[in-house]
Amino acid sequence: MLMKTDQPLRKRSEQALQDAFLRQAVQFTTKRLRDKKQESTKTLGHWETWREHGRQIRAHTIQYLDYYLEQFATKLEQAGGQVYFAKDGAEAAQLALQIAKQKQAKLVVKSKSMVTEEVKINAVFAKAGITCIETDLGEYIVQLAKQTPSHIIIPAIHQPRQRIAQLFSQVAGKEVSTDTEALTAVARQKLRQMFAQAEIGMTGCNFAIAESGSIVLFSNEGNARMVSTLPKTQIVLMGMERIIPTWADLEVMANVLPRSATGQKLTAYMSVITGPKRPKEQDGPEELHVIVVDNGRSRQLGDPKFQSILHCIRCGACLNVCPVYRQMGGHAYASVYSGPIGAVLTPLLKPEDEQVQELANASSLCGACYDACPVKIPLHDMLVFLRERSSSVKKGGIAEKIAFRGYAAVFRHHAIYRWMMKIFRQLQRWSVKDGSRWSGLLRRLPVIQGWIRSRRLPFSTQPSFREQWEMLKKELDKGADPK
Amino acid sequence: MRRIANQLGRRERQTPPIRKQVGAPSHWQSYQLSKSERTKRFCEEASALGASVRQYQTLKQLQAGLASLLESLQPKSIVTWEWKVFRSWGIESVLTEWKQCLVDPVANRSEAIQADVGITTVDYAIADTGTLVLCTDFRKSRGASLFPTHHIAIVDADQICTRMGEVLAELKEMKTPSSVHFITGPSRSSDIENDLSIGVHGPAALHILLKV
Repeated sequence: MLMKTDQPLRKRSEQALQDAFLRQAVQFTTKRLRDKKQESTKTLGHWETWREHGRQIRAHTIQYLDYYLEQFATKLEQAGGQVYFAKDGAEAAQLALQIAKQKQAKLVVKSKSMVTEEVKINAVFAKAGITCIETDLGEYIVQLAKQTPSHIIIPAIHQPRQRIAQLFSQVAGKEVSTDTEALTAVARQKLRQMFAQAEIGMTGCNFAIAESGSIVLFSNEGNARMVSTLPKTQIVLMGMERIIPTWADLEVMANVLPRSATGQKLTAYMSVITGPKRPKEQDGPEELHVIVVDNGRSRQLGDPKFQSILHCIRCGACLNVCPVYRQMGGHAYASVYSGPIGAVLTPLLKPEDEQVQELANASSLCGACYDACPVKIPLHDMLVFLRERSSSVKKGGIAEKIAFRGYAAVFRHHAIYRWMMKIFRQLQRWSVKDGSRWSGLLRRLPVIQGWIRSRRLPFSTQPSFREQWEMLKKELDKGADPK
Repeated sequence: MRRIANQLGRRERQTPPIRKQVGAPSHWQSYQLSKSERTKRFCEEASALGASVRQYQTLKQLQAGLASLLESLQPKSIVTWEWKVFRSWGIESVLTEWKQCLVDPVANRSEAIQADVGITTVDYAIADTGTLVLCTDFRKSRGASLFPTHHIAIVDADQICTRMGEVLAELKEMKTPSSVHFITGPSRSSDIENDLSIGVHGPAALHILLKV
């Protein structure tokens, strides 16, 4: 299914809800990840202490981000790496492109990185005639299908194996079975040629250690290691907030990130890279370029409501618990970042883009995202702040105004409230059939039809609690009379 | 940087205050297992993730173990670290027997990335997660633990620490290597319909030869 990104959120979510495979796959995957996370954090024990430590490290780092960024850049340069700062996505992509052109690159191999999606590296490089190949298995599938990732950790959540087999058969030039092993083997063989051929390897960065200028990469497949071992030049794109101060802090992140993301104690690989290869070393990149991307991040600094969004470690745990994400999947967000983090981060990174502001509405404000967050970001509060922000800019229509005035009037006066409740109970008699189905007439009414189409309203009690109480009270008063 | 400082409400860059606690929670920092517990835990954790762990009492047994493992794998091509690394293990004679299969990772890169077996030692191991820690230097390539289908790692029980923090503290003290790899089990992915598959890019099998 191809999601039309220019449609409003309501249309996109409706479209996603029609896709039975997607919904089943998203619900299965998120439940699996959720259960695994719960189990692994339980085994570790003291999870709340770990979360609080995670939060403290992130909060401290972001509060002194200028100091730590400079320390990181200095140390990395001492280790032989080159550091660039890009104020926005376009500049980041151009910096990377300049390096690629200088190396006369034709092929770039990439390991999974959200920030490269954010700055649209692949499109920029393609325009310059340079091919970028995604090497994470899920991302590779998504790229072959000409789509975008639908989950931050498992990008091809929405692709059935039959479709993957079709895509891989085209690549392999022969029929490939739908067997997981056979499919994996095709990817291994095909991508191995790419790793060896590519002039440039491009990675993201899970964490950057300030005290040594190191880049930390977590991966399960080993593609991040391939990308940082075989090509002669390595380009790292990192969001400016990816810093942690010390090696000791890495232990906390290594304990909370994999558990929150996939429920693993540790991913199969965690690589700490400090500069390019050293003299006489047998392999590794000869040059290491690190592009530090701002792209709307620094704007959150100093804002008491939103600064902590920069604490995010991109684990995806909030997606897996979100009742909205679990129903509609990632594509309906039409943004690089989906789920609760996407609903907050995307509007914040692009305040000038009016269309993405509505993403803050893609939430039930239940707060499950906060409970799931390993660094305790109050995402639910931010969602409210964002809604407040857009409603203060955009005024609702006359009807909305009248509706809320009426609502306020009814709820302000006890007598009116009781009287209105009586009327509504009577109205319900003819508007709701069989105890919960809405009558045909009501379903055709404008405004509320969207609301009631997928919701049910059970009959209210007749007589109401208040009326029953009145009667009971009389009986009680009588009963209290000594006979 | 000044702009960032300004946004954070400071005129100039400011050195952060010293934090009360750095790194893991204190209950975790005091977590310590005895040597036998470490060995046991390491074996359990590594095996649970699909690594095969073989334990040996003496060097001689380990050498014989390596020989028989190679015999059963029948590799056509092998990449190793420089032999000097293996000196204390005395496995040169075993490797010599497979001399015709050894691939030079620098001179013959295209063959090295398709190798059947890679043989390395490790710098540390971590009991808590069943992890191997390999530091790169001029004798120890990145590729030997990454390219081959089978990775054979030779480990001494004395190298096993309880938790990752101990290794990170030691790494911080030395001149930081150009790359350090924490390896936990074979390469894995669940990207196809949540179905676990092993050996996507990295080794499909991890054999740990442990001298206890």
